[in-house]
Amino acid sequence: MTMIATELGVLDPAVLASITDLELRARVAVEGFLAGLHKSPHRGFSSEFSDYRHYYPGDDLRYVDWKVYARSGKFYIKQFEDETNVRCYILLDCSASMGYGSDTVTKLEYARTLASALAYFITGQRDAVGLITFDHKIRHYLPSRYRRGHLMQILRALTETVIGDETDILQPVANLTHSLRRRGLVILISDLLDENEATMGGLQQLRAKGNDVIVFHVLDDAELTFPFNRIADFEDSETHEIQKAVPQRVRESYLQEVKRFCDFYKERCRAGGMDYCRLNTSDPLNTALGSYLSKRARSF
Amino acid sequence: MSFLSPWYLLGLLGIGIPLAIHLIRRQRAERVVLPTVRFLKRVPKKLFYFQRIQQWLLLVLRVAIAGLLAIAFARPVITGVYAQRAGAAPQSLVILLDTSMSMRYADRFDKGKAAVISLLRSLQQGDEAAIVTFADSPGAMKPLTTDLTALEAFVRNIPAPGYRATHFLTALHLADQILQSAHYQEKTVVLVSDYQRSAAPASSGIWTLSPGIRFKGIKVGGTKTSNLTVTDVRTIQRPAQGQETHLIVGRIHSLGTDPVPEARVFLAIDGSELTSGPLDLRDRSEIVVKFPVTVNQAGLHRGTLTVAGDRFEPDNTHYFTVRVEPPLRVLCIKGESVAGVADDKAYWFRSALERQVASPFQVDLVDPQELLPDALASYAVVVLMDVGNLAREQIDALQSYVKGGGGLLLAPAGGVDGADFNRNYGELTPALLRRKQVSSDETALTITQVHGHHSVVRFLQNGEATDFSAARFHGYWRTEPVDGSDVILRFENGDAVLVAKRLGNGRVLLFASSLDPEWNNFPRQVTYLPLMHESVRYLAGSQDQKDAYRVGEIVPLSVAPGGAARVKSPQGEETLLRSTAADLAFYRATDQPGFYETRSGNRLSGFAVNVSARESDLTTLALNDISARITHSEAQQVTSDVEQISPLRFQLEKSQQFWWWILLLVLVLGLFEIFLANRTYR
Repeated sequence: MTMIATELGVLDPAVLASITDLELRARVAVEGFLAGLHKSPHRGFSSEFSDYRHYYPGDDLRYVDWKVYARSGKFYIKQFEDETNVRCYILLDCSASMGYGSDTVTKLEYARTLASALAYFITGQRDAVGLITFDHKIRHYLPSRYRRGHLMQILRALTETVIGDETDILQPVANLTHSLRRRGLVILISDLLDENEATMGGLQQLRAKGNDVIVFHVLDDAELTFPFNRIADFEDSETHEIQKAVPQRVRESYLQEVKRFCDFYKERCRAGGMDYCRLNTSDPLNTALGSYLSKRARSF
Repeated sequence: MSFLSPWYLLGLLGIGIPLAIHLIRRQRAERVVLPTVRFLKRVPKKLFYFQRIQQWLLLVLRVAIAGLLAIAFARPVITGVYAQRAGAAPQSLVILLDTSMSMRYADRFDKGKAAVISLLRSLQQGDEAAIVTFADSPGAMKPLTTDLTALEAFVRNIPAPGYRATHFLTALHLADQILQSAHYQEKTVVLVSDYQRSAAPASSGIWTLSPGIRFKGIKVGGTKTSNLTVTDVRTIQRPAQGQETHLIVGRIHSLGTDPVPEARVFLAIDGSELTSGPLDLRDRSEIVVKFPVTVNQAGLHRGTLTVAGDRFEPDNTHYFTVRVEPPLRVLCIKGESVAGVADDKAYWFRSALERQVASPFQVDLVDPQELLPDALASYAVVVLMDVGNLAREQIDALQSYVKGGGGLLLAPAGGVDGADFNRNYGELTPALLRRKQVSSDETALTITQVHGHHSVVRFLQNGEATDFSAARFHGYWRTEPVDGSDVILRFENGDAVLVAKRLGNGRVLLFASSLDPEWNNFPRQVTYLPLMHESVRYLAGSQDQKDAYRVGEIVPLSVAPGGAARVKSPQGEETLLRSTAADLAFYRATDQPGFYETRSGNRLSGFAVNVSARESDLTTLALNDISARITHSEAQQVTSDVEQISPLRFQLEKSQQFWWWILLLVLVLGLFEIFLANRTYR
């Protein structure tokens, strides 16, 4: 990991954010990251039927089993068992808090770039990748697939993702937990500004079913350092609650709280066998991609 | 509290500036969207409370700074005392404290000082007062001030009363003048005294306080008094011709309300008690005592007549002098007598000087040709009575005699030729003879103009002789006074009758008519004798000094031109006096009764000083009487309190100077504000 970071150099999030085409942005990020790495071996691809599951909005209608529909009147999606080793789901938090950015890059933009790069990267690894965007409910759902055009669907979904409302991480995690039949890799990209214990509980259930979990904890630099100097009314981006504060008087206590918050996830993830990677939106993406590659290499 | 520059209080509107800034800041506080506000909410509440307190504290500080600045510039003065007055206007007082001799009686002076201090303590802050001590004239004084503490200290340091008499009017007049410049309309004169009857104006209407000035009397001392005093001592003196017996006559009064049952009197001469005896003043208020005294030596002797047995000692001793001197020798050079008038031209003059028992004069008569120049030195005065011609050596001797200190009386009449007189005595005479004026009795002139201040005619003021109106002059010499001469008497037509002149150390008088009845009836008039006596004494230089004065009286001392005299007081203090243009020096420090010794050149003399007999009279006056006599009947006008307080507020502000302390407080608050603001907003 250290070797990779030093050899890859910096993928500046601000530079990446200036690339409007998300595919190109993902490619630049991934290929920039992979430059100098050995390419992963391409694996075979198949689409054998394996199971049904309930239809979710966004599912490809081509996989609706019309015969079952004719018999039951309900939509069921035919699930195929890929030949790839990994089925990946990227859970992208698009709640209101993710729309915050003290610099040119918001957390959502950073997360979107990261998600697209991961999708690109995963696809390039011939692994199946799915996408769930959510705030307090699931906004997009793309099942994990590996086939032509799926990546473009993911990138399009990411492009169309807008800032939502309040955060509820537990719901998409719980849904995913119930819907996953095979173990896979779940990548959660979020600022985790939700109920800590509930969120962690959901992730642990996901992990308990054999899934590997990587948590990319995306925070803005201002959230981590609280660089404010003037007295101000601080407004919560989701609840819109206002707290007047004199920064220099509350900074120390605030930073302790943030550290306690981050340490909570870090410790609980480590204890639960999950990978935890805290990302500062000013950090280059290679940190996140390196973290994924490391996990991929260890687990599969 | 009030303000000297209240318009600066508009600056209090400046309080709105920090208030507005605070409110605007509060409303326009920067709003920062932050997803992690939840962590701020977990910050301990006390931090926010403290932060809020700091903001309010800053607001209070800034408001206080703005407000205090406005108040400081408005120059605050604490005038709460005026509000407490509830209609009692501030007042200006002049307190007159009697320091005359009568205040030495018992504890009157202490009571007087205590009364003044009590009065000062009863004043409100802001009242102004002045203190004047007085006796026969105003003494130490503390001008109008609001510093009551300083006034009290001044009163405590007033020395004990002296021996001077009391006169209310001069002190009241000064108090009236002081109150003309007072700040307030409420003006009062407070007179703290024992209220001797003799000190008050004789009747109402002589002088009154100005309109609007009130009078308040504080009477100290009781009504019961016991006092004996020697009001006068006279010596019937005889010329020293052996061991004559002099009679000392003393007048003793009981001037208190209580009789003195066991009184005694003591007589001492030159410090030796000669006699004493009891006094019976139980049923009378006055007694005259007589003591024959034999004095062996010529010269000035000091005597004291002392009474004892009363409760007031300062006036118990009367000082007097017994002057035992040989008779004044007068050489009278007479001209030829006119037939039908008198055989002896000098008869009237000689009779006036010698026809009395123990006359102080000895007159020797000679004709002009009998005058021996060497004999002049043994005479105090030489009289040229109708003598127009003398031998040259006689005239030269006469000039030397006068310049050496002798006295010369020139009395030209019908036997004198004016030209010869002027030629012979031109240097001596105080006036040149111009024309002989002789008329009938029907057109006689009288003396109407008198140079009253000249010592020759000072006797007229004593009432011993009324005037010269009875004297008729039908003959006289019209004269022309020379430069430096004084015309003492004039006729009704303005012509000089008696002219004086100093020549060297001597004196010359010219009487422009006859000293016998040749040209007038003056020798038969009552004023002839005293005029001759005084003229001779004047020429002899022996009448310059009285032997007894009252305390406070100015003593004129005869001093040779350019010379000086030393006066030694009873306490031994010496004073050097320089002569004035009139060859006189004036000694003013007669504050103590006793003997004062004078020395002018080789001449040693002295005089006695006694307390005023009036001051010994301790009978008192009712306060209402004095108040009615000096208070103006016009009702005073009182202006509003604001007008009265205004001038004083400036005085108070000077002493208080609150603005300075307020600015200092503003500075401290400003520094604290900077410190706090840096901690709060940086």
